[in-house]
Amino acid sequence: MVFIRLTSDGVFQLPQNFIDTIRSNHSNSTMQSLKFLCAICLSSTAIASAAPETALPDPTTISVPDVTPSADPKIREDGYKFYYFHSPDVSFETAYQDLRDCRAHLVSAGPAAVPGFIPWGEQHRREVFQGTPMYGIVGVAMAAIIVPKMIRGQHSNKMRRCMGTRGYDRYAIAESVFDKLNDGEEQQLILMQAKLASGPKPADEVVMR
Amino acid sequence: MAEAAIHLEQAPAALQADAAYILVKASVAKSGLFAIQHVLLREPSEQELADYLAAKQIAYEAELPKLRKKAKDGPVPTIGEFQFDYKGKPNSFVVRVGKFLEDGEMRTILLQVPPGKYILYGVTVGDRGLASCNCLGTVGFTAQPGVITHLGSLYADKVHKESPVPNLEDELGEQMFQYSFVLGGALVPADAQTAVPAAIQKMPISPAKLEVIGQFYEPGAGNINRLAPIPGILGYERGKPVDLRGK
Repeated sequence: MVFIRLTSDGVFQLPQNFIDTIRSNHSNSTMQSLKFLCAICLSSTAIASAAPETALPDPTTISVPDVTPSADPKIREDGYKFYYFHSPDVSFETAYQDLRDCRAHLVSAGPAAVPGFIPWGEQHRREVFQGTPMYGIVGVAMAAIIVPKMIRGQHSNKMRRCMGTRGYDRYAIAESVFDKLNDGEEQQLILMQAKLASGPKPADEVVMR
Repeated sequence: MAEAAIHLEQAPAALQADAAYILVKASVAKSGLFAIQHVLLREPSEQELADYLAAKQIAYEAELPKLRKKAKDGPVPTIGEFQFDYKGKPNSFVVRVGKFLEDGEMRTILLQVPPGKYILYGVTVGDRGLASCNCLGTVGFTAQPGVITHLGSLYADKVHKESPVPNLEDELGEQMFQYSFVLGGALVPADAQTAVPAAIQKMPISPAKLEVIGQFYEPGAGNINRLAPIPGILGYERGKPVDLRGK
């Protein structure tokens, strides 16, 4: 049985031995995802947005990829797939928290048991196990093409809904830039996206599709 | 009760003192052959949660030798990743529009359920699963024993484009449908004047007292959304649910 500790700043934390077990078996990115899921945890009522575990860096020290608007029609056409968020009304700290809250929805698990038992209020949730391939040899090759696009699309749907309802617009970028902002160490991704989201208003059209 | 909910297709002769009842109307939109329906969840008790965790721990430890053997030198699933099929008392169910008390453009559904606090958890296609959770905001209510709790009217449909079903937040983005179902739900609450079927008019009926439920995480849902705003009750400020009755 895993007990969840509520810290004095309102953050739910898993026991260290549980985290150590996960860390010993998983990559750093998975670990970060799990930690963020646990740090912004389920509650039987509203989620209290947890304060960052450490002080945020000065955004001027954060390097971000170039998001200069492109005239390339392909980039404009694909703006609904490859974009970054921006709101004219938020501080860096608020953008960071919004992205942290919303990206925590990207952690996927096995299907919710409906009808069945859902452990509402319990942090002990199932995550997708990455250790064993799900497909045969040919399936693995096809899945390597299809699955990342499906996952990217599913993530996009979730982020659009979560960030969109918080007042963020989307601005088109190249796929390579999108990858720099979305693949990698989770904390660094959120910091980069928060800097862009709270920075100067892009001189570009909002992606409406 | 072994099930999370019994859909009563005939009015009961009398209400059971230890059971709760939920009266609701529901829209009948479909995706292909399958109805688009709401999912309700009953908040489990502390004992139910403890029982679940204990059962999961036991099952995981029993399976661990096989998991290690299968992993060989690779990673072994943690208990968090363990695919656990819990056979305990269920607390989630689909409000099935095919099992109704009265037919109509909106079907009248009477549910017999364990007493407790219920949450409008999300929307799904068909009679199983959770295609979209109301993770960004929803409402809950308490179903007391021996009383019919009159919830109101539930609406649900695909909302990536404009929907003919009223009261929904729709036109979320047609491109989103490429990747998963984009479903939305809404509730128009009942009040003391809301009509009820003649067969149950003489039974104790009380409008549901709604409670705004804040954001939550459901990693097992295909997509995330929120219950549509309810005028005077559920609103959203910067995407976060607020109880408008406090304003």
